[in-house]
Amino acid sequence: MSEQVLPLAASTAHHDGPRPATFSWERAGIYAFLLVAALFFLLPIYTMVSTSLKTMAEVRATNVLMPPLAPTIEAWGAAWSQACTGLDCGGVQVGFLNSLKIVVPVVVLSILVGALNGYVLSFWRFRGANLVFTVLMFGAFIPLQMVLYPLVRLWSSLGLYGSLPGLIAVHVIFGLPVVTLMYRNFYAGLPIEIFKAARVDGAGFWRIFWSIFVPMSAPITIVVVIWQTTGAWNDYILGLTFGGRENAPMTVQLNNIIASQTGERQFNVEMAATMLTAMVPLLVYMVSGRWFVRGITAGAVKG
Amino acid sequence: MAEVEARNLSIRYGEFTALEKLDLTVPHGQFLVLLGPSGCGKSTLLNSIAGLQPITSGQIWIGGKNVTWAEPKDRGIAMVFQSYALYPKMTVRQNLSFGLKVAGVKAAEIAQRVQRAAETLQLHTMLDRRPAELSGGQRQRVAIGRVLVREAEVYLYDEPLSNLDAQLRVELRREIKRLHRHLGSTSIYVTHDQVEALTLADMIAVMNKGRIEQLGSPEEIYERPATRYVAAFIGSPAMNFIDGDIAIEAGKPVFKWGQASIPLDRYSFAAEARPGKATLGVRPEHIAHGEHAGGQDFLVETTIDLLEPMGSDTLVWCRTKEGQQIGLRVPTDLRPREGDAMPLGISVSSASLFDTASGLRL
Amino acid sequence: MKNLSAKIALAPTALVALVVFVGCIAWTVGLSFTGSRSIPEFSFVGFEQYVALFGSPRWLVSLRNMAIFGIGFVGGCLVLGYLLAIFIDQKVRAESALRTIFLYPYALSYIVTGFAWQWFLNPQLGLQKFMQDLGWTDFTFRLLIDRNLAIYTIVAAAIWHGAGLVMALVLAGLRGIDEDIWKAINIEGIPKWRAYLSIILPMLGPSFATCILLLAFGVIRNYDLVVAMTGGGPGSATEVPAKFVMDYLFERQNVGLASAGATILILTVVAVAAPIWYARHWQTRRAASASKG
Repeated sequence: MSEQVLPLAASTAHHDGPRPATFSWERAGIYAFLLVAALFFLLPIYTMVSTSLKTMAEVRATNVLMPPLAPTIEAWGAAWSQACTGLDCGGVQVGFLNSLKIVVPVVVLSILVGALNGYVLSFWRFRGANLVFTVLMFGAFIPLQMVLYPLVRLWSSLGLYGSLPGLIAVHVIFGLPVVTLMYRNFYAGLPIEIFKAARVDGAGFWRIFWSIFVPMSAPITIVVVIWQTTGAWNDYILGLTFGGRENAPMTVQLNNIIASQTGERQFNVEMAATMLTAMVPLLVYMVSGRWFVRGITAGAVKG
Repeated sequence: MAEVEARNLSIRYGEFTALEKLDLTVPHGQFLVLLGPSGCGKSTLLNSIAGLQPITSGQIWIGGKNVTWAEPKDRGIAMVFQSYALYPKMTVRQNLSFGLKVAGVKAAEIAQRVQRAAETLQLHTMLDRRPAELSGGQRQRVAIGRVLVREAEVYLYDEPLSNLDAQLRVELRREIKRLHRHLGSTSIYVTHDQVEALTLADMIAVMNKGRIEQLGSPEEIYERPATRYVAAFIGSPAMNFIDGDIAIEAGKPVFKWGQASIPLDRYSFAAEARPGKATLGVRPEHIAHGEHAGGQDFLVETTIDLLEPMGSDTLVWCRTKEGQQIGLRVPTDLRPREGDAMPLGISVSSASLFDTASGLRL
Repeated sequence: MKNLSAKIALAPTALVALVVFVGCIAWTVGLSFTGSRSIPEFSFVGFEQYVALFGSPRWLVSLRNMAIFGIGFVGGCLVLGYLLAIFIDQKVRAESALRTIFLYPYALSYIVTGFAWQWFLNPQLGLQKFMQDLGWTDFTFRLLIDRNLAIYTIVAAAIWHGAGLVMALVLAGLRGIDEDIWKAINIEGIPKWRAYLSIILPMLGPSFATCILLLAFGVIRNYDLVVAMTGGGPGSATEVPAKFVMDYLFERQNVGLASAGATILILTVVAVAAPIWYARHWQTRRAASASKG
């Protein structure tokens, strides 16, 4: 025993500097797991893209995992401007434009109202402000179905039902809890001394808001823009219920196209249309990077 | 026996050198304090001894074994952290026993060790509480307890008292010292607090920019600082520095300061005195005043510039005609007043002389 | 009046919150006690709609599916998300690319997710054909058209969509853990898997609570994904409560019954959220009182 220990102890004497890197099963296992996971996450989008670049003949002849042999953007063109929902054959471009018309005002209005709410709730708490906030947070959690029918009746009686302004208003209302929370948390994280100093300097409610807090709000506003853009773009249920035929957003139109296909399904066109619908949020995600994650974290309601 | 040794140790991150060819030996049972400002490399050195910090070159030896490539758990060490690093969701008992349980120590043995640690540190009443329910001082006592149960040969402390308020710090400092006497194992302790260093250490290593400026007993470090840097770092209020020249007059070295020349006969030079620019360092408590001012090597006329009463004594900041500032401590009952004349006596035997260019002790 | 501007500024929000989040809910609850069909009528029928609801096989299937979906989806996302976060946290190369890959599904709508998976699992031309092309000719992968299995494909698609969210939130939690804790773990020689299970997991409680809250609401709201993937079929095998309510509100013209279903949904929300809220509230109070003492 001791004969073996001694040379072993002696053999460490030359160890110097960093331990040399050796092959480790642990590291190999980590990378193997991450690789398999990455494949799982990439497979669906890969099949969507590859299918959309095939002709229907090729889709039938090969399978979902085969790459397109002769890539063509025919299906993308068809999906954009020719795909039919029933008798209406205008492609998803109508829905694309509708979604734009919805998302842009929704984002702008959400920012204005949300920032103002957050400002009041952080610095101007009065009796009853807490109650408003509590009700608003409760609103973040209620399933849409809970209020949908009364809202439809209300909107019809106001003449908003099925109109673009009506749909935009609904979006802003349901986005309000989270957007307000984001701004409130952001302002609450700023030193209160800024607000106190401004008051000592004699600035009033609106002056402090416009001159001091609005210019400081860029970081959270970026987060809100990302959050509301993807949220409103990805919405289905509000567009379906409040949009009517005229204002159907892209998601609703995509569903109509796929659901109303008769005869043989054009999978390549379907997938191209799906990719087109996914494009805007994907783009926002790719461009925004870490801001997107911050948006999720900020939106994760911290009761 | 667990001697700790760093041999020719270097750590670099890209361009930045954290430690440069450092050699250090801590004999068995000694309490070594690594002292220096933040960024001097003291924590890096401690972490590399623990095996938590990859090194660029050199070796670490603990207890006569080369542990350079060994895992932290195989180095026979235990460590206390500034942020306590207690496992927050475990009770104190679980915190103390978890490491042993994972290491496969028998339950009876664990219970015994936890019992012993709890006795030593008076943790009995808190064994079933969680860290969140304890005060900062109690948490650090638990962290020390977690180190005790490991029955390691070397204890490492990474600024363990920095997060505590002043009173607790003093209390726990005494506890750590008592513990070290009791255990007799080797300890290495990182701090930027000179009082902690002076009170706890058998040996202090003052570090600066990845090097050890001086290694010595607290007395040596305080009385005979090896460099101007060490002299300035230790002592509060800081040592007074007077810039002048060394000259040889009639075969004897003198310190020329303005018109004055101070005889250096009674100063024990480290090497033979040579003429050149030099800095005289005098600690505030070594400056004589009042009736004692005359009996020293040199008398300087000053006026009182500013007073800082400290309770037990008063810090007096004086200024010479030439504008040199000199600080000293006087008993509060002397009641000095700002603007008063204050003759001061300086004795070179208790002073330090440094080469102005290199900062080295002469 | 003091704070007048502030009150005016908050007034529209207060009005909307009151009308929509309180008024409309009260309205729905009220409707659930009436015999309303396609238009609201104010004939009080007591709990008749609830009796009818729980007598409806379709509603019972919906509830069963919500339970399966809820356990599978929340559990799956938590486990996969925590694993992804742990593995990404091992100082791996291409960390940023991996994070992007794991999280991108979360940016997609449920409609898109549903169609992607529907195609991927298509019985004629999807994965099944791929396996057969590989030479496994009797391979049948009929998940989407098997009555008993179709709900699990929805679970899989939803995990694909949501696991990245858990990964992102938990990874943020992992990065927030004091480095000294890891040093202590290292020095005590605690194996990594053990540390992640016994020390780190309990420390991530708040991150996981947030995840569970978000995912649970996804479960209750789940509607679009089912519409896109199966339309509730085959038969009514993948019906879910949110879809049941929608169908009875707008297609089957039975507002009273749908409102009863919606009321049950909001009770579920309260049942999920209340304990988590309570636990958090209790924890903050305990921590606050401890730091005082």
